[in-house]
Amino acid sequence: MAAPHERLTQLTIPFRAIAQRFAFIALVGGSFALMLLGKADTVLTERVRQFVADAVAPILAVLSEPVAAVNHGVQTIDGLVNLHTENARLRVENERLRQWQVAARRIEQENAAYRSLLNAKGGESRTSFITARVVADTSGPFIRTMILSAGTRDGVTKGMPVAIADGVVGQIVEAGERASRVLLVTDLNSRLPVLIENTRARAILSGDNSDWPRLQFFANADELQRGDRIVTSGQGGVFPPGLLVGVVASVGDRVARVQLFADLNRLEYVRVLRHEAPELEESRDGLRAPGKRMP
Amino acid sequence: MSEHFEAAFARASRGVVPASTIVVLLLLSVIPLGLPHISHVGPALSLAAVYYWTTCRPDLLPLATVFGLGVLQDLILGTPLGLSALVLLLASGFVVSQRRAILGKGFVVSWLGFVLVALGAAVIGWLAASLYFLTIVGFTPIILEAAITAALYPLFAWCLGQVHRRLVG
Repeated sequence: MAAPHERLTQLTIPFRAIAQRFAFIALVGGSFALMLLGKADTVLTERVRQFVADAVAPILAVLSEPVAAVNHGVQTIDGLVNLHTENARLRVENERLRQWQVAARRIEQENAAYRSLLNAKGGESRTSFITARVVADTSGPFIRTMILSAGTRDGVTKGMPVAIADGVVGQIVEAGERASRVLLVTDLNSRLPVLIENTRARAILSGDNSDWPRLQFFANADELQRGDRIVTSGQGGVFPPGLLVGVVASVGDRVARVQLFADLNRLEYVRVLRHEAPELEESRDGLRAPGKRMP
Repeated sequence: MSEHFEAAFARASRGVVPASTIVVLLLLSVIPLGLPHISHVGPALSLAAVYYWTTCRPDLLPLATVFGLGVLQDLILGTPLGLSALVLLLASGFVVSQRRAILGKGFVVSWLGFVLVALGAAVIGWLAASLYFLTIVGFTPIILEAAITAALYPLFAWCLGQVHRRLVG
């Protein structure tokens, strides 16, 4: 009874091996095809990614809760241990900030006076923000991204800048209904128009998957020094101008590295900025203005 | 009849254990830990799990499942679609072909086998990513990730071994 069954099994073994080899080749081919598809049809892959991110974000939010609780506990203990020194540091900082506040008020008044003298319009850009929790740190050797717990239903749309109080974090590249993905400024595909604060020289901050993004395409390389502050230029209208980015960490031949102000390893909550560029309104007014004046 | 059904159910539930562990590890690997540097070159948990199950129970982790898990990983991580699928498939295919050399030779041989697979996966991943992005992707974080994963493999193998013994038998 068993003998014919065994013989049959033995007969099918080579066929099964061939089938498996064929399946292997087909699936490897499928992987390459998917890579090509991802390169060619970005809209479709983006939609599938959004769907998956939307589906896993609630699970990740729950899973990350205990880790966040432990981190909070550690921070609390750390805070208690360093209470005295922290207090002393804050006193000194508060003193310094009060002086800055006085200076800022004076400059604000001065600015307002100059603005009215020049009859300047729309100098201030309007920026509001949506606070979102980081539910997944999907950064790896190939890509630097994060998943946030806010999506289109919270007002997050593709292209919005993401920052924390310390500095710029990245930009929304995919926005699902309840989750969105941030492309960090350290990612290989990130390009951010920036300014060197002192010299007002324009440059591009481009990520290369390392912790220190590169500063590229800047004029007057001799003027660039270690410790120079880098802020967003607002060029392109995506990021508001003057947002803190980082400081120049090293200056080499034609390439400088930037140490970011935002610690991208410890992000818990971020701000998704809703920024309305003033330049666009001005140009619209400018276009309409002659028509209005003409009788 | 009910015994037959129970046996079929037990077989089916055993069948989904390896894939489920990989999905769980994948989700755990993206939880923000708030630890400096670790998050960016954290261990490639899915690779370790695919290696473990393919050496122990390749029948429970068919190639199509490996492919599907790779695609899911790409979708969650945001890596180029098909990249992880390719790396995991090649790793799985390699392990299946070399299974006799690894199995039953003790844990050290199995670990060494994984070191080889992790290295190979790093090189293939780097090549594929560089081709995809049309630029040379930094190799250091990739090799660092492979080294961390290889160093932590005994821990993962122990955990997966517990799951294996309790749920699959």
